[in-house]
Amino acid sequence: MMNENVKKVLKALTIIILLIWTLLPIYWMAITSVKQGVETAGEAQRLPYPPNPTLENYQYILFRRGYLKYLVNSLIIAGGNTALVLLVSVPAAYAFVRARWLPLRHLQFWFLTNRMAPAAAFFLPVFTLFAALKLTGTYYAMWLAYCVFNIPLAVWMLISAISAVPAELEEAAMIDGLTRLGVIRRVVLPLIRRSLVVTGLLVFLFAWNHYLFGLVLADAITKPMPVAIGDFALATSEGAYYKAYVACQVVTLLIPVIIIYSIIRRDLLLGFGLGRV
Amino acid sequence: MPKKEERLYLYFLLPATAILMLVGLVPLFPVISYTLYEVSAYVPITYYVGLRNFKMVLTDPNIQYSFAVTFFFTALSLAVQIPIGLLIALFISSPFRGREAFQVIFLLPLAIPPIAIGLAWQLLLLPEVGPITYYILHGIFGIDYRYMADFWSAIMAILVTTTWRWIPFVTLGLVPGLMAIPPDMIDSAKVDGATYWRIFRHIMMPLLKFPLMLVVFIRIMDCIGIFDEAWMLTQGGPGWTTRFISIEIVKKVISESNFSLSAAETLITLYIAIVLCWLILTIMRRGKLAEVE
Repeated sequence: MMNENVKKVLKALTIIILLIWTLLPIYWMAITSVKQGVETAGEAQRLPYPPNPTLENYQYILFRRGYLKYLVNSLIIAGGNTALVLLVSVPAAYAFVRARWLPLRHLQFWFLTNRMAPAAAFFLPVFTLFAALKLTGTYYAMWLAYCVFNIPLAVWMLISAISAVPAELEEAAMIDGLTRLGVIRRVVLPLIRRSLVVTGLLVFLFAWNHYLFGLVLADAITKPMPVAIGDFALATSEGAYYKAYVACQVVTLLIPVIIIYSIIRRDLLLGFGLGRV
Repeated sequence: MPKKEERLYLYFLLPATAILMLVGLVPLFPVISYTLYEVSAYVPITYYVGLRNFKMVLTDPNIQYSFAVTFFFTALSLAVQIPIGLLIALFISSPFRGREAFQVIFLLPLAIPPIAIGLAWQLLLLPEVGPITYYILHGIFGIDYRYMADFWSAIMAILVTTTWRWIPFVTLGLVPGLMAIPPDMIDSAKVDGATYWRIFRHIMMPLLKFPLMLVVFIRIMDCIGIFDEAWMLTQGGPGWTTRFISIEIVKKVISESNFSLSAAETLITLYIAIVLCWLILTIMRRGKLAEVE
């Protein structure tokens, strides 16, 4: 039998190691973003704290280099996609829960495969489609393209929320004279309000974080933040200030992520497909 | 045809289905036709080549390598992440002070954009000047680590990066199953003199089987689709060594403009994904049935 105290120390040690492991990349990004540009080149960048913290990098990137615009693009793209996804997913999820017609099971399976398949498998199809529609470089293209992974996600999450609404409750409301649409609006939606908010935030998060489709669908004016960061990081011409600038772009991208995360962290796993285990 | 009442549901499904078909299904037809022709930005005329593109994808050693290295990476990721994730799950399913706060931080990587993760780890792993390469690998172990030196260095960098993102997923997928075990059950097993291994093997494992399978399958799907982190770290290099299938599909389009081969790769990848997906759902359904019994 192991000594209780040794056990406690081991446990505390494990927790500390796990916390350092989790926070290290974020901490390093954050300090790199507030270092002076020259301090992120050569051997100076090893320093585990910013010796002369500055916000100049942010000012330069967001205003002089115009990254504020890409941030706004990201907001427009993720926000528009979230609105579109919720609008079509609520009725779809409701139908999947209540309909008894058997072929719909297959439709539900097909919905899900769109989320599980690698995004790269939709790279060429999506590019071909929007090139043919002459929509590349527009927000419409990204609003629609991001639906490939976000509609299945939203439908899946809303199915588990709507299944929890007792069918008897809806029937009672219909006997009282409400139509099916009235029932959805007055009974179902208020009951699943929290799930709706969580689903919306998670859909927004996935759209906000997405990179690949923007790579071919966005142009210089409409590109979202992740694509702008990728372009900057992969171009090699930015000189000594490069790391500080990349870091402050990444931190800017992370701020909304952390806000959303702190609201939905309990429900996060549902979005990865583990909620109903 | 469905009954009249049910027809309303079809209207409900229409918009979502229409959008998914437009984006996920309709463009597969031109992509299929790409595979039958030679379509490239460098060749002005497209001409019919039959199944030659599929034949090329299946026989070209480079493309075969892309598929092989993707599966190899998938196996490697599972071998590393599932045991570590399981250990951490065993660890945090027993209560300790500040567990709530710990979980808040521990789950965070799941929300971070993958390209940010790729860039953050690139900073940490920079040759000579990255804090991990300098303070830990060089300082403690005396290793001169360069993540772009060769295949193993590159694959290790990608492995560490994706492991950072996915261990919380594995762990939290398993924790609910572990928490559902009544503590009395484990206590009485201990009283009966069972070793920890036997408790794990005979009490925890049966309850974990189903969530574990689900976690493994979702991880397989994600590994097959690995793109963002690897794109930020190595872009498929050095050479062709970490050119996973997603990177190969994208590079064929954006840097080589070879739509035909990319299309054939796309279809093969989609086929693999759909078969795996079908497997997952079948297993999930079976698990559900088993639960009901």
